[in-house]
Amino acid sequence: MIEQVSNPPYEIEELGEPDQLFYHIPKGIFKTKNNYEDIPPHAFTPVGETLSVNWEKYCHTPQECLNIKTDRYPQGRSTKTHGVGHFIVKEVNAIPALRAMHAPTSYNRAHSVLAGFPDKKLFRPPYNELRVKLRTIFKWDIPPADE
Amino acid sequence: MFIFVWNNKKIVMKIIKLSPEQYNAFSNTISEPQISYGKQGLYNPGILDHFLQSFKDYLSNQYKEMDFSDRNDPYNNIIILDKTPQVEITYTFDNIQINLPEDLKGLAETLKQAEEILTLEENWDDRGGRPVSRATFASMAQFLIEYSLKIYHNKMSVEIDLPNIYPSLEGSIDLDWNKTDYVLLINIAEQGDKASFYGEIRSTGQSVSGLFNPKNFNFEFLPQL
Repeated sequence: MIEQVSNPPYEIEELGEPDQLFYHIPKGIFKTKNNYEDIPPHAFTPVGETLSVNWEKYCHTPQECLNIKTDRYPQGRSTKTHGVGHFIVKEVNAIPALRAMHAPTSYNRAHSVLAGFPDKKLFRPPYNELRVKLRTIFKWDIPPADE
Repeated sequence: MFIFVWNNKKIVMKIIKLSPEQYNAFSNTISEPQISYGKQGLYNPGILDHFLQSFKDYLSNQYKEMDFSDRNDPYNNIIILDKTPQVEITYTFDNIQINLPEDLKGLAETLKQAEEILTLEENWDDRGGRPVSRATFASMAQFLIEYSLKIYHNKMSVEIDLPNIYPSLEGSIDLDWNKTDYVLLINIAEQGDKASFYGEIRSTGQSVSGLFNPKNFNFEFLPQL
């Protein structure tokens, strides 16, 4: 368990249209093809119904985004395990059914989500469409490091 | 290879790799069509004469396409006039053994390379991902081969686009055609009896999506690359 910083609840803010939202992709996604320019659609499958990202206003650089400590990564992530890139808010919101929203937690003010995925994703449109469109607008900042 | 495609209302002809030697050989082969079959394995002999005359005209540059809508033939006949036997390659996986035209050698290689996804372990994606089972892979391979063969025969082309094959959510498999001018993503479920797809033409944004059973699908309802 990482040490939870005791912050007062952060106010939910409006994301700026040109703002960047940083997104981690685990290196394991690329296990069968080590080509980081050809990103498998599964990289854009959320664990739940929303895809977690970090807003550049409070997580200023891709490296800072990698360094965020979580329960799973108490020392932060590194390029040995992850790459990080970004979406632009305006481009996310241009995708039908998808909406970028600020969703701060008590220990991560930058936390934001891309909402609009179906609950049980397989065979529920627009799951495939969202994965395809997110891949199109995603841009690498720091790809995973080669071994 | 000389090929006629009868597509119910129109005949579209293509000549692949027509060398001078093949041109000369044509006179020897045209009177003896070697293979003829249709969608239901049927063949309407009455059409053959029409085809043969059409092909002669084609070689004389009389026309490139011919409308047969008045013939109302239901069989989607394909008539191959070449005597040269088709070279075939075989793709094998577990109890699957499928012969493919040599033109689809790349498909067999893609499938063989994709077998690497069977080595993935639990949590391969760092998000609790399940391994891909051999049964799921077999279902995917059978679908992809059948789909590719239909595209191959439909296009009458020696080349077809090949997908990347990726492991995906809950033991499913993604077939991903991420091409310059279009994208097509097909997800095949772990049980192999359900699939969903999304396709888009990049230049226009025209898109199509849907669900189907990979073990019993209607080709006309899927994107035809």
